[in-house]
Amino acid sequence: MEDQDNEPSWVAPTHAALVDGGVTIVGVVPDGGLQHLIRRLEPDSHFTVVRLTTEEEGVALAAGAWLGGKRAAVLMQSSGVGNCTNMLSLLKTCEIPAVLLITMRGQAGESNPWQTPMSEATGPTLKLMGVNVTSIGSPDDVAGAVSQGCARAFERGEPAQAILIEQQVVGVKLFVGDAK
Amino acid sequence: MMPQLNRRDVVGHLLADGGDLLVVGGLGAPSWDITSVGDRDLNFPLWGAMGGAAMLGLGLALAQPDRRVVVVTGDGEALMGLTALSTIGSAGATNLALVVLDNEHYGETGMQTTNTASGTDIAAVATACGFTDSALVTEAADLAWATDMVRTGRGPVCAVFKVSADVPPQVVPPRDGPHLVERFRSALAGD
Repeated sequence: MEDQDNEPSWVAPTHAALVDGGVTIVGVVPDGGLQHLIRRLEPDSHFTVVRLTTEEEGVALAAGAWLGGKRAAVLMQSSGVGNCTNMLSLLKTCEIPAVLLITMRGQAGESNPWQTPMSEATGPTLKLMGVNVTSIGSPDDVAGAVSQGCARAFERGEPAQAILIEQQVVGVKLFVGDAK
Repeated sequence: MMPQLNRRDVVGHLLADGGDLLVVGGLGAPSWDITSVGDRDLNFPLWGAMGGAAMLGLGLALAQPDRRVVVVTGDGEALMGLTALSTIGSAGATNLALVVLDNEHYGETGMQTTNTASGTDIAAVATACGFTDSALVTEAADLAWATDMVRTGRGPVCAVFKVSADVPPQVVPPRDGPHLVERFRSALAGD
């Protein structure tokens, strides 16, 4: 997993992409891979950052933001997508746009097998619930995908957009005794 | 405690002459209740998304900080989204009021009892989560000050009304989601 000090190259342009995409409300359930982005968003007065207790709250938050004339993004780890399944009905039934930025666990190098089932189900679950899915495997492509996601969701009448940041981008989390 | 209040009386008090309020209804009876006062463009009655009403209200409150947002929901819906009380208490939306019509039953599914009948005090949970004010209201004499709290109290506030499990006639709002969204956003933009 990313260390605390070195900000990955995709973080600053992704922050800028959210600003440029008109997002002002962000719901967050943290993930190690999102820590640097969260650290940038929280002190930025452009954003209202809401610390969620569980991920499905973020889906409802985004719907309320849209009703109120604002654009919202929700940040979460892949395991949290399972928590969102029924709440995504709200976005689909009401045709409410949102951007979901999701860091993947359970992929190449994963050391915790408990992460794998929901990782395997993340993309299919989102698609089944009517969310468009874009999977990003290079740090150079994250910000562009976020920009595209904002444009598609908020300006072109497309459904909610999920951008999956693959584990090879965010890195792996190691536990005591795991070989590096 | 034996719930005494009538849910339509409570909602009628809370929303009377509330033309500028942004109102979210939790699925089931609370959506019928807010519609019984009037099918307003600035009502957003939920037909699903159980557990999401309070958080939808938070998103709306953060998006419209100069407007009063009132979420009217039931005890079953609130219990399913109980984690939202923690999130809302921390987010500190000063313009958000959460109203729980607590009849201690799941009214849409056969009147099974909820956990508010056997221990859970949602108003106390809200207090413990950092809401600015909360109250458990059981008497009709308390409707006046409770309405003041819901309409003007510095939020987030939570008012739980113990209401009878009687089932008033359904007053059904539109169920077309995109229509409900469009009319709400248009009404806001036009204000």
